[in-house]
Parts: sequence; C-alpha cells; structure tokens
Amino acid sequence: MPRGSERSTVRSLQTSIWGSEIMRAEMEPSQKLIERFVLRYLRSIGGEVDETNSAWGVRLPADELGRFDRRELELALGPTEGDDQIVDGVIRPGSAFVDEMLEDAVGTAPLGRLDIEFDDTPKTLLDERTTNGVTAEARSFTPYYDRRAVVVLYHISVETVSRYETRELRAAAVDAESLMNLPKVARRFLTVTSSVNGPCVHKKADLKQSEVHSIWSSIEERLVNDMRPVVQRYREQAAEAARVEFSEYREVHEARISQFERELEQLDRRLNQLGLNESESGGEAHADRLRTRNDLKSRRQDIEKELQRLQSVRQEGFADQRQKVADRHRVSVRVNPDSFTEIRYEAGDMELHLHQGSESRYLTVGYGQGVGPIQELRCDQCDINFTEHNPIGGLDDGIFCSDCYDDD
Amino acid sequence: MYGEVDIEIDVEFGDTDALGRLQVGPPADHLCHIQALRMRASTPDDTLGSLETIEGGSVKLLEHQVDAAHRALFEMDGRALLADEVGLGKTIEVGMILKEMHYRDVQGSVLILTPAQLAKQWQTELRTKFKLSFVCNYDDAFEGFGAHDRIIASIDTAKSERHRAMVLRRAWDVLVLDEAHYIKNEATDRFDLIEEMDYRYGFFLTATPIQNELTDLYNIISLLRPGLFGTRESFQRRYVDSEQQGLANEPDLHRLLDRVMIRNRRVDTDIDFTDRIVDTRTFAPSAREMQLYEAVSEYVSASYERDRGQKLVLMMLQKEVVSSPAALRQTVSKRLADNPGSASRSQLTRIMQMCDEIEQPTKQRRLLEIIDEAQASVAKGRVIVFTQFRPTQAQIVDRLVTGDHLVHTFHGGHTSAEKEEIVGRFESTGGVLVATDAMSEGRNLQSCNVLVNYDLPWNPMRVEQRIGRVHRIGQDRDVYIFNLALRGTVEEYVLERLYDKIDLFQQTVGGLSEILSRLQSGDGGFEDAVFERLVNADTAIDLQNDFEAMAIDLEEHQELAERVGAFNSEVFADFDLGV
Repeated sequence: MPRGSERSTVRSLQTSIWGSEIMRAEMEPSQKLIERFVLRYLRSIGGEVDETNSAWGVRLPADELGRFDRRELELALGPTEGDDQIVDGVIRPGSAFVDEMLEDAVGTAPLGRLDIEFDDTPKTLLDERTTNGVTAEARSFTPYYDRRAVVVLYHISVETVSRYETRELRAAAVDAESLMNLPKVARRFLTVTSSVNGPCVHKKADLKQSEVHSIWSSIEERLVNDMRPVVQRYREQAAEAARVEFSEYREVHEARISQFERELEQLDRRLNQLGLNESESGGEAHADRLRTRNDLKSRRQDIEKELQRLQSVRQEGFADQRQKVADRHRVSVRVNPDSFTEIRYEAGDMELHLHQGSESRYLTVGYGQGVGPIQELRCDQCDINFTEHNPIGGLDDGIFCSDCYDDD
Repeated sequence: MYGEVDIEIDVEFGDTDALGRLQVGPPADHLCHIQALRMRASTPDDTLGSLETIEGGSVKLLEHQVDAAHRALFEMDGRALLADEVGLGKTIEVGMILKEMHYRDVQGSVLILTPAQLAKQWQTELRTKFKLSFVCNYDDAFEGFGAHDRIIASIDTAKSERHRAMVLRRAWDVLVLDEAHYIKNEATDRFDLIEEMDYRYGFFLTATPIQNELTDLYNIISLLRPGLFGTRESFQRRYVDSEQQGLANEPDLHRLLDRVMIRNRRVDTDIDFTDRIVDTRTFAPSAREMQLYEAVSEYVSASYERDRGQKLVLMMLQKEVVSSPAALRQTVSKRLADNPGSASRSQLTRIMQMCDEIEQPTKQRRLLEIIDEAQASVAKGRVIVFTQFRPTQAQIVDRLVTGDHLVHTFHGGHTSAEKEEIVGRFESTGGVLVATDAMSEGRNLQSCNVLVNYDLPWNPMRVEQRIGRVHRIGQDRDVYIFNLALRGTVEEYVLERLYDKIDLFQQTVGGLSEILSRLQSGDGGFEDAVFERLVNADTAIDLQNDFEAMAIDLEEHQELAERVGAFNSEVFADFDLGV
C-alpha cells in the first residue's frame, strides 16, 4: 500500500492551551534506523555481526538459541523481492524478522539510564521572558552538582463507541526530585534516540521501582490534562452521536405509541360494528360473533397494556434509555507508562548580564545544563515570577516585571 | 434539554509495577527498548484516515468491518478475499476500502463486477454511504469500459463479445468482484475473464468460499494471488486428505489463507441479531393435487430409469409439481412441443389435463390466510413471498391482485433499473412482494420482516440466502418465516425430515456449510441426494424410509459430521475478529 504522506521523524511540536509542550514520540522506522537498531540489539544479546557483505552474517551465543532457531543467521538487508526464503530474516521496516525483534525489545528493559550530551549553553537566556528591549546575556556557567531528570514515554488513548480510537505515544520529562517540568530534556531525548548514531551512552540506572511509582503518580493527571483538547473533541462528537441515537429511539417510541393508538381506534370501531343482536341469541352466527368479540377484547387489552407501558416510559423522560445511551457513548481515556529513562544533567549557577538601553545588571540564577533556568526569578516589586505572560520589563534600580515598570 | 445526553469521561491510569518486572538484561537493552517502542508506535501508513470522513454520515461502521478493511489494505497488500457470512456487511467493507484508497489518492481506475441484478444497488450504496460516484453499465451515461475510471458492471456484460477486449486491454488499479463463488469453476468464461484481467488491487467477495469442495477455494484464491497455493495438483496432494475426506497440512493452509482471506462469523461479532420465528405449515393436498403429484412422480421415476441424462429437467418437474400446477404445466407443455414423437406423450398430456383440473391450489389459499394474518399483526405489514418459478409467481400475483392486495413482482426478467424501482416502491408503499430467487442474492430488505417460502429450494444455501435478505444488520424486528408444504410430498420430507434435522431455519451460513460440504463432496449435493431418494423408492413406505435414513444419516454419522465441521473450522480457523 503506497503511503499517502510521510511523517517527520519527530513530529511537530504543538503547544497545548495549558502551556506545556505536547511531545509526540512515535518514530518512523527508516531502513538505516532499523539496521542500527538490529545491530545494537544483536550485539546487546552477545551476538557477533559481520556487516561486510550485502547480507549480514550473525553468530549468536549459545544461550540465545531459545529466541532463534540456530546459532548462525544470514540476514538480508531490504528491500528485497521474492528471495525472503533463502535467508533467515530480512532487515527492513515491516519485515517479520524486524517486527519480532521490536516486539522482543519492547518487552525488556523499560527502566534505564542514558547519558546524553546537551547543546552548548546559549548566548542569551530568558528570551521569551523579557520585553521592552531587555536582553539577558549568558556570561558564565559554574556547575556544582549533578541532578537527575526522568523522561517518561507513555501511551495515551481516547476512545468512544462512535469514533475510532486515537492512540499516541508521548514523552514528558521531569526533575526526579522537584518534579519540575523539563520540556527541553524531553525534546533532546527524542532527538537523540531517533538519530542513527546519536551521541548517547547507556549506563546502569539508579532508578528504583518506588521512585518510578512516585514520579508516575505525580504526573499522570498532568498528562491527561495535556490531552484535554482531544478528549473534549471526542466528548462533543460522542454527545452528538448520543443525541442522534437517543432522538431516533424517541421517534421510534412515539411512532409505536401512535401505531397502538390507531390500532385501539380500529379495534373499538370493529367492536362497535360487532354489537350483538339479542334476537340472534343462541344461533351459530351469534356464537361466532361472541368469539370474535372476545378475541378482539382480549387483543384490545394487550394493546392497551403495552400502550400504557410506552406512555409511562415517555412520561419518565426515557430515563433508562438515556442512561443506556450515555453509558454506551462514554469517553474512555487510558494512560499507560511504557518506559522511564534517567538522564543526568549538571546544575549550578549561571551569571547573566541584563541590558536595557543604558541600564545593565548582573544576576546569578540556578541553571541546568541542557535544561535552562531551574530557579524562579521574581519581580523586585510585586514578587511575582517572571514568565512569558509576566516578562521582565525594566531594570531601573532593580528588576521589574513590565506591569510594575510601566506603572512607575 | 429533552434530547441531550450527558457524556461521562472515564480515565484509567496504568500502573508501573509491570515495568519493574520487565527490568532485565544489560543497560544497552534500554536504548533498544526506547527505539523499539517509538518505532512500533509509528503507524504512518496503516491508519484508516478516511474513517473520520465516513463516520457520522449515513453509515454506521461496525468493528469487524473496520478491521476487515484495515486488514485487506494493510496486511494483505490490497488483495483479499472478503468471505464474511451473509449479512455482516461485505459491501460496507469494500466501501471503506475504496474510500480509503480514494483518500490516499492511490486509486485510479476501479472496476466493480457484480451479478447483473446487484449493479445498481452497489452504485447506490457507494454513492449514498461513501460519497463515491461510479458509472454503471446500465446508465445512459455509460460509454464503454475504456471511457470511465470508476465503473460498476455486471460480470456478464464485461465478458460479452462487445466489451471483453476493452476490459482486458486496460490495466485496472482496483478490481472488486462480488459473489466471487461464481468464478469457482475454472472451465467458464467468467473465470477466464478474471484470470486474464490486469489489475493491481483485488477484493473478491463471497459468503460461501467453499461451495462444493476445497478446490473451489483454490480456484478463487489462485485468481487473487496466483501461485499462492502452487499448482492445482500440488494443492490437492498437499491439503486434501482424500482417504479421510478431510483436510491435510492444516497449519500450512492456515498460514496461506491468513494472508489472503478474511472471514467474520456472526457468532464472533457484537451484532445483536433479532430472533427468527419459524412457522412451518403443512397442509393436506386436495385429492386432485395428490393425484397430480403421484402421476408426476411416477413419470419422473420411470423417465429417469430410462435416461439419466434428463436429470435436471426431471428434477425441475418434481419441484414444480409442489410449487404450482401452473409452473408444472409450462414445463410439460414445452416438453411436449419439443418432443412431438415422445413415447410418454399420452402420460404428459394427461398430466397437463390434471393441471388444468385444479382450480385453486391449496397452497395459494393458505398463503392468503398467512398474508392477512401477517398484515394484521405485524407493524408495517410488508410481506415477501419467495417462489422458485415464474408461473407460480404469476399465479400468486393474480390471486393477490384479485383480493385487493397491494402487490409487487420481482424476477430475473426485470432490468436492473426496474428492480431498483420495484424494491423502492415496496419499501415506500408496503404490501406484498412476490419474488423469485433472483431476489435472494445481495439485495437487502430490512424494512420487511415477514417472509414466506411458498415453495422450498432443495438447496439449503438458497433458503439461507432468502432469509439473509431480511434477517441482517439493520433489521430491528423479529423475523417471521413461514414455510408452506404439502403433506405426503417431497416438500414434507425435505422440510420435516431434513431441514428440521439440521435446524436450517435457525442456522447460519457457517453452520450450514459444515453439513453441506460433507454431503456435496459425496454424491453431488443436497439436491441430488433428495432427488435420488425420490426416484429410487419403489413404494411410499420405501420413500419415507429412505428420507428417514437420510435424516438418520445426518444425525447418526456424528463422527463424519464432526469431521466435516472440523474441516471447515480448520479451513477457516483464525479468520474471526481481530486476528
């Protein structure tokens, strides 16, 4: 099946209405990426891989025999046509061999540590938190200690009966102690792990199960919040589908009531027409009429009973059906953690030189390499944090937010 | 507000315990884990992007249909046999497939081949449910197979002298073949046409991939995926266990079928089908009808004894005599005209006279009672009456019209446009639709829930096809099935001794095929089995005993039945939902 459109390796980042970045973590398996993955995987289980030929020769340790049929494998590099049978596996996106290997890898080592290199310290900081021509030049960084960030990959899915499930793999990063949101770390993590030869060293993690549990518990609500626009769309559609279903039910119900009412009228007419003539008493025709009359009466009773039932359901506002429809259309959101990766970063002090026209000031802030400022900066007058909505606006005898500076 | 429904949101958080248990292996595995997780989550080319455009429209998609469309497109590389049981919405599945291809801009030329009577229905469904416009070969706008990119045509038009060359000259992007069991026989023009066609994606549809024997499947699938099963001989050798009359090398066959065939069974879906209420009414024939029946049976037995080559026409006579004197009379009259010097001339002439002496057939009288009863007690009051024979149909229609009933007639002689019109009229105005079995494939009549089998096909699959017209998705009422049979005739035997034994009227296609494939593989099918017993019995007692034996055979040969059941299950194992 030809592809309709290619997706970029790391999908475009959007900003949710709550301000945090939504980071989609799906990664399209390119041929090169798959080859590097297979190589790393085979080596991680102790295999020796000869990459010199067009087909790889693999020699596996004896204890991996359970996973593969034999110790020596010949793996073709795809795409190939029709010659799958002559090798032990084909390395290409979507091949059965690769799919099995991905399956195996997903089933192991969800907790770990990666040491990744962060970008150089930027020349300026706080760009999004300054206004009125204020700039913040990064002068010098003095690292004092290591801190730990944790990147979480998680699946989030939204589903309702009237709409196909949306399921996304997303990434979030937090500081292991303060639980502060570290979007830059998550972004860097995604870039590095999607690169064919990412500058990435794996080490034994210090993450404990209890820590993982506590981090997850503290961020799970936030992750659902990030999904809120999607959930809201689902809810609106579910409500519309439920409304249509419910009104269809109501219409059918009304139609049945009308039908029964009509039938009652017809029966009444027939009963009237059957009015018994006393002079016929005892005759066969009279007996026939009696029988017919009894039949019609009995049928009338049945219909009347059913009609009353239907009318009573209508009177109660179709409460049962309304609940049934609501239950059927409820929106289900599931959030499941898939992996926790510990990442070390250096923290210390960053000296900033702030300028505004002829005014300038020096300021030292807590800073994490690759993370950015990790300390809140506040207005000298109102003591409110500087953010993009409350930026630094003036440096005259202090550091002030734009509101306080403008008031002066 | 009256119409509003409050929608709740359930949020469920997974826990981290499972992750801790998976923590094994060297640190390098973690990077592999992350990359594997991320690559597996990437599904850029196998989501049905067009679903959003379909949903909320005029079609309600069911899970198994979405699943089938997805598998056909992405797991089977766009070449699939869609073999759901009757009534599960194969047309919808194809609609979704075509819509998705359209959405991805990968379809250029699309040809949908159907039995003639279904072409217009396909056109309407694709237009109304999927907003896909096709030209149909019955449209005035149709200018030949080379002039349009999206065509729906009858397979017989496509294979006709006039069009065949153009159909074969084009390289089609997509071929959809409805009722694909019509090409199970490799010695037919239809088979040749499909075999010679050039198409990139193919979707074949049938509820009954195995009509008679396993090689039916071979023929159909070999057209879709040439070479998948190897040569016919190697297929026979490999998968048909001729000694055990069963299946050999099942896992291998499963593996192959799984690459090309999707089969959903009703029992595996969430679909809540309404009940079937079956009312079989057996009536004593009048003395004249019984005499006629005996005369025809005697003639058929004797003629068959003399010349077995006349089997088909004799079988027809035997069926017609219980359908109506009118149907019988027409065939006998033609036989007399065709064979003026026949030794049986006096016998046939006498049969014709006997036909003429029957003024009102018993069944006809009883039919009127049922129709009145049904129309008085069932909402909307629509009734469909099935018969196998046009003269019977005409007689029923005459009688109903005389009785001031609103009647619609449907048979194979109508054009497709007329058929559309007839069904539309029946749906909008109600009344009685008297149809031949030309109605029984593909056309949907969920608006009707009362069906009368005026006469019964001896092929139970035909019966199931009839019922499938009304008892399918979208039918929100219980379905009433009335069977009419004349006591002491073949109908009684077939109904009471055979169909009841296999619980036909509550059966689904999957269940039936287990029984039929067994019978048909032995002696040429259910119809033949019935006929042979009829003509070979010397006395009425013998006949009863023979049918009894056939019935007992169905029950007592449990072992064989199980083997056949297992055979079908094996053949179609793992073809249910979600696999």
